[in-house]
Amino acid sequence: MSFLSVAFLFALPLIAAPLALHLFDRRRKVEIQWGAMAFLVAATNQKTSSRRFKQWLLLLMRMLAIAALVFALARPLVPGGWLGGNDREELIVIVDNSMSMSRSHDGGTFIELARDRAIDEVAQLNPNDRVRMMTSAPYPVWNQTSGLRGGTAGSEQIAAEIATIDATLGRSDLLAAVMRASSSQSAPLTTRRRILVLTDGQSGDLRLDDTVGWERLRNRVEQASLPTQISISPLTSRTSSNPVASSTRGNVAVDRVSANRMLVGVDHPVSFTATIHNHAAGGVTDLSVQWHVGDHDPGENDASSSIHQQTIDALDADQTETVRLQHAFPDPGVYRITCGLNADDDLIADNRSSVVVEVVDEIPILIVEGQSQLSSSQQDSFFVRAALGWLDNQQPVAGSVHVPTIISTEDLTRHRLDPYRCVVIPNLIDLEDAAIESLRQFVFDGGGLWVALGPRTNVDRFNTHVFAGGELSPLAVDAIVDDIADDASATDQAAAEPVRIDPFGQAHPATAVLSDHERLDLGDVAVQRRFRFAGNDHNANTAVLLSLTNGQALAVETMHGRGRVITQAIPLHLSWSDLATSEAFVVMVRDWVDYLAQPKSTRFNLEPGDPVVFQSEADGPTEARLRTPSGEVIELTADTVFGKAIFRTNRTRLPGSYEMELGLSQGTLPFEVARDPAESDLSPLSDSKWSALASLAGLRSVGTQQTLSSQPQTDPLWPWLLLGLIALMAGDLILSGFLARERFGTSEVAAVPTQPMLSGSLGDLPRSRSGSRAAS
Amino acid sequence: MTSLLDAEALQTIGHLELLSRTVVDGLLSGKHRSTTKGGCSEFAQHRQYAPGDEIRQIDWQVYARNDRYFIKQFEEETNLHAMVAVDTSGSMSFGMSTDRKIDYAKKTAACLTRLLLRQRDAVGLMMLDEAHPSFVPPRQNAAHLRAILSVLQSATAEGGGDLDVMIRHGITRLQRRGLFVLLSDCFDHEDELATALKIVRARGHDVIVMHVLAPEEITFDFRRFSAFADLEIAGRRLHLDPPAVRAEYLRQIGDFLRRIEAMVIGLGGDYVRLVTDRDIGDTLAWFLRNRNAAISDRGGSGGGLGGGTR
Repeated sequence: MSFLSVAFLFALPLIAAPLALHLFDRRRKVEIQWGAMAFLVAATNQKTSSRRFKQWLLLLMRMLAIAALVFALARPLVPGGWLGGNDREELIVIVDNSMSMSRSHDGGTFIELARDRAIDEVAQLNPNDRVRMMTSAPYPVWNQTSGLRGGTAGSEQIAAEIATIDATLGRSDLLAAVMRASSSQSAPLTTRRRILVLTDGQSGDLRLDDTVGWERLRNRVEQASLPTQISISPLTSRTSSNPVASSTRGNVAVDRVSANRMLVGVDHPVSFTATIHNHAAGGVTDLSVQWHVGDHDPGENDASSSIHQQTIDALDADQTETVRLQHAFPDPGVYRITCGLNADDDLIADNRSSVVVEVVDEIPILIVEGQSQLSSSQQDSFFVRAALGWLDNQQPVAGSVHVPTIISTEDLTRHRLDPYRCVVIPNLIDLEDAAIESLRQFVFDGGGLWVALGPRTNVDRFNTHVFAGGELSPLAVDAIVDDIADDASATDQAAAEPVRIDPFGQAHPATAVLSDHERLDLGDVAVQRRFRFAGNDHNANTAVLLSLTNGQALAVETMHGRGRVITQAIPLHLSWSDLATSEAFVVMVRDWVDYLAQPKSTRFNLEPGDPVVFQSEADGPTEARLRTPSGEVIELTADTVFGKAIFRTNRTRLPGSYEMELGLSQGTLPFEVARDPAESDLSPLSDSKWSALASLAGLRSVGTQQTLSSQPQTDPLWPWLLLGLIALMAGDLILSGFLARERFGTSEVAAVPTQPMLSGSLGDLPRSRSGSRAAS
Repeated sequence: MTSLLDAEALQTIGHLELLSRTVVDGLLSGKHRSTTKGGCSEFAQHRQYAPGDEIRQIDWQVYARNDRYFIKQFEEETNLHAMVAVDTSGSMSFGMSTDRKIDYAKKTAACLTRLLLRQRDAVGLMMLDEAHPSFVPPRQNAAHLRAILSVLQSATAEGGGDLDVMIRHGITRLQRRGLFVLLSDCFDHEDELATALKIVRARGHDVIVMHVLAPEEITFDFRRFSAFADLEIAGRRLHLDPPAVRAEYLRQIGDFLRRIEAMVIGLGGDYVRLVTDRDIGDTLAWFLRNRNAAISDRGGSGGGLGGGTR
């Protein structure tokens, strides 16, 4: 027997309180000098023995009542079944369907072992028991809304349910699964609950770093109204009773494939990078890497259909190697590029990884020119246009995906911004309020804005209307500072060196290529004059893209709605710096324009749970079907907003490849939900971590296996104690009433007449002199 | 000493008389019927004339009707010899909310003595104390009151003793038939007490048992757990919860009272229950009125202050 609130047991001495009160009351008795003792003795002999028995019985009942109350407050638990009665159990089987469960072992996979084990557990249930199934990757999900009957009655249905469970590419959160299972509503009349976790024991799935979560789970189980037992048992192979210690053939995985840009022009080379990681304890050699474009059977990483093949000679234990591919797409469209690995390891599912890029004919850009009255070469946008390959509004011979449209500042108010992906203002001058509001809405809807401050920028108006508390600029500007002048005043010659751009200043997706200082000259760009940003109170959405060698920020970024805004402290022409004449300027303009244009593009590369949002033209199809990695087909209906059909769904919890079919003739669109590379690490929990988990969750080892279980099934005893208390109190009341009736009677005791009637007398009886006074 | 004489009680019973229900032997003429037949005043019977009788005693009216001589005989009215016996056993010292029973009995005895002496009867006193028995022979003079009160004053209730033995011993000292008044709680062996009273009655005495009781003894209205210590046997205690035994106790003492009353009435005596929470004067007045009325009804002479034997 155990107690949940053992402190209440300190109140046990109160049991003696009725006895002490009884004895104390007897000690307080009064002594009466009495004459008619003979009658008292006779009366006592008649009454005392039975009455004394009842009094002691009453005393005993009161002591037992106090004992029952104290024990009930201490909430005792007795071993399960000790009290007998109808025992209806609810079994919740949590199947770890993470990617690691698909690894092969002993001729099968772990997910097959889990299914077999689940069927065995269900077969042992009684017909009155209930069973529910839950999968844990990537989020805990019930396989059915209500519990199924155990035993043979529901065995077929349960077997069918179990057969549908398969490993995914996701990562399990077993803590969340157990938490959700333990807090779920149980079936009516259920007396206890058993939660069985079937997992391969992979360390990452158990979330040992979440100590608060495990302690919360422990408290929840301890305080649950329904007695709950949790068993976490690593799966054993068919031929051995020991849990699988680690992978036997090792595991090499393509952790992730990335592209330097997700929106590229036709025939423009795009760089793909694949990260190959050896998760095994030993090294591997002669790894063959194939790159594929488009749909590709994941089981065939053959070289025949690949667009490129590479070889990794050797990969040591826990070593990471990156392989790159540069590829240009001749036609517009959405492409899935897959990097596959030919490796004979335990886990095949992580031997490939994909990324989706969108290839377009053009990216429309709007450039706001502040000096449109000047000649083309004197305009502020000259260098931007030149960097994009457009001079004199002539499309370059080599072709350019970026198609700029140039309007004057005055026309910005009247111009529709929707068709453009990005707006560039090479040298900001005063904008009308309506123009600023139009830009704010444009950015909020996903457009990109690149604002370069220059000599004609009105600081006050910028701070008041553009910065406006951080909406279109992360920082307010302070004043124009002349870095050369400041340095020249110094006597130290070395300090008189011009301030340059720090090419290593910040790691940012938009400056990934710019930081290649061996091929680009960004570090040679000198800045003579610039705007100084006010303060350093960057908010959470502020990022610094470029900074100077003196540590000052030169270009900062903020997010507004879905869009991005880059604010630059120097203009995009020759004033104040020689940035526009550097080689890096061309790369910077193109990369940043691409970066700013991305939010308005469809996101084809998602994280689990990110929504799929695809926008088609108004005359396009309004129905679509999304096929998930598990083969499930989701019917989608477009919402028409401002003449455009938008398909939207959040059912992307499973990592892997998704396909959206748009009508019959529109083909399919690939979407890729990234998987967690940590799932490729197949190392199991060490003994020390099992001990830590046992300590955290209040579990204990069972047998010789690495199996953890909560305290053995116990039943609460306190409801019975409370019932006993009620019975004792009722008995106390009845017996007390009985004794009181014996003491005082239900009717007035016939009083002895104070005066007999003399024979023949007729007079009145004399009255009492002082009335009847109580003796004591 | 005069504190025993309750003025209020005496005023209440001052106009009443304690008469003998039976004939008594008295030396003086008085209100009570005498055992001596004479020509004093109270007509007794007619007797046939015999030679030697005084001629003046012949009832001429009877001779006129029957033509025979009958002598007219009269009963002599004499004074009463009353003996008041007071029980001084330990149980008589009980008293909680009222006077102790012994004090109540003393006052009652004093009032009766005063009453009897006023009606020129001889009164004696017998203290039924086993250790210190006292006996005051009946006297009729007024100064005798002081002697009786003195004995009453000095009496204390303590110890035990057999009430019947003391009664039988004391009654032998009465030479003349008279009135025997017992003031006691009668907490003694009933049978022996009945025997003693029968002896008293057999000797020709009129018996009045004044049963002195405390109100607690007939109500037993105790609530708290108590220890009852015996007043007659030292060291005897009884620990009990009074309400638990109250009903049984009342049944026992009720039966006892009924038996005592029946026994006294069966002897031809009078039984009166004196509860100490009641006024002595009221109780005695009530008793005397009823007794006189009963005597008057039995005598057929209309009762009144002089009783029915005159």
